[in-house]
Amino acid sequence: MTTNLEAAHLFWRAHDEMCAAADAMMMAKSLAMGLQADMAWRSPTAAQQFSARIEELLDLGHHAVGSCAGTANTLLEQGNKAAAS
Amino acid sequence: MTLEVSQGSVVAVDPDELRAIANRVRGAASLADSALDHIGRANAIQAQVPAEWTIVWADVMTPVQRCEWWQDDAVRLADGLDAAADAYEVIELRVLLQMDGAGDGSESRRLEGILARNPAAGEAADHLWAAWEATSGDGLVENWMGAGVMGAYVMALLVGGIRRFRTTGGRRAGSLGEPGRAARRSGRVPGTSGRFVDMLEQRVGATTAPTGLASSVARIPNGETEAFGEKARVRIDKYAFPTGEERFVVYISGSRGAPWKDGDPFDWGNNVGLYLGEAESEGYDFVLEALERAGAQEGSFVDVNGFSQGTMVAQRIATDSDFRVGHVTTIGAPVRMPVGEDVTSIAIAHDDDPVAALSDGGSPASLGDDDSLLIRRTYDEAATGLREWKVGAHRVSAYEQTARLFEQSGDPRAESVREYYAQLGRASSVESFVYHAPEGGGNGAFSAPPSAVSDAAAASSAGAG
Repeated sequence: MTTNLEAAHLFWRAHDEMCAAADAMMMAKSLAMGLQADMAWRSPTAAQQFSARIEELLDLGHHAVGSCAGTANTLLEQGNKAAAS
Repeated sequence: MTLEVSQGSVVAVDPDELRAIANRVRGAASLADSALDHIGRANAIQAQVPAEWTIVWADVMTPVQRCEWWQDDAVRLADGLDAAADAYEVIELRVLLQMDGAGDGSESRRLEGILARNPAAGEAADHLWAAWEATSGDGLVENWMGAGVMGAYVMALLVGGIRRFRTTGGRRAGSLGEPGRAARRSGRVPGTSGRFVDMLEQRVGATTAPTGLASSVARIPNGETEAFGEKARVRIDKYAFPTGEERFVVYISGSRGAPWKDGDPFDWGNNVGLYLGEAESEGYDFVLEALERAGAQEGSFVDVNGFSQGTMVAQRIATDSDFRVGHVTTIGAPVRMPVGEDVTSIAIAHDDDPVAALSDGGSPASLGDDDSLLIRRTYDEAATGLREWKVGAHRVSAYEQTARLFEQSGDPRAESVREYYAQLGRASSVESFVYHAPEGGGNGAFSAPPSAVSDAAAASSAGAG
């Protein structure tokens, strides 16, 4: 039989994992962001296309980070609720 | 009034750089693996939580789906960059093979290797190559079909003639044969003035650097104004910088005189030899001699500007002379020659200029270093016939307008062009010389200049040139 406190600990561990997932995605997104500045395109049209493509990727990354961080918050709140009950 | 600015190249980026970026994208994608591992562990932990505490997730997409989506997209981008790198490299290798022949075989082996590994790169390269060819040869005639029956007919005759001439002469499309022609005349062309060339020297005196591309272009001697008189062929501005460095900026006239007359170093007949890449060129010899008279020696820093026939001489100064040429600016060039990776080439060409059309699409490879530009524009979009092309698009003043449009366009690439003229503007002194074709044999000194010459010189010194 799992106690409420044990359930809270499970949620807090799951929260830590999701925070680590958010950090990893944030780092991946930062790497992609650096590419924009480093690319020396000879053609402005190609540069614009590449920038637009990177922007799409960054947008997806933004949502991935937000999803992981949002889940982590929910897990933390649920853990706190379990611990307090 | 649309300006099209490119590098004279279908290749948008260094393929190796593109592959390096693709690897970095893959590195970023692999970080998503770590995120997915953490999410997997979080889910496994949640599965141990008693049912009464289970969270009912209402998100449209789970974190796993979002991270996997991001990872798939990043890998797709990396694959796309690698594919583009292969296609660009295939183009570059094809250009190298066509310009330099078989070489040592390494280019052929590299090309075969890429095509074997990635056949799609060959197809992508074919599309890019076809886009370039659409502006050359037969494709040019098709592009001119919109110019009305007469326009297309004249263009068909003109380009058809060029094509036959190229085929029978083994010339190949665009500028692909230019390096080969330069190599064949190697050793037979003087690097500095090797003989006395008759000309009249006019010392204009102190002047200032041009304020930009347009005002520089306007300094090219031409028959449209009375500046320096009818016989002016070459102008040389000699810059002295506070560092002690000297630089000679040369402005070379186009063809002058009536087409049926000869005897002038820039007469119409001299176009043919330059166009064919022959070793002998009176215009080239004239410019070498003018540079010597202005004080330039082997190894001197020289920048060249030319119009029409003068562009072929200017490009030859870059490829064949013993001067250190840093900048080549051409307007209305019948040949667009790659001038080397250390030289900045700025070429302006009007699509409705029949002389510029002789370049047959120019070069799919860059004409010079990374700052090099090909600036194109249809000068008169309303004009539909040969008459309009002749009087309108192929004039120094028309190209001056296009240069001004480019400078005012807000194109970020105008900045490097501006910087070049800003550097010239930092000279401590600028002295100008004009060299005139002799009239029935000259005595080497410009005597009794007409009043128009003095006025033009004054105007130029005041910044009008």
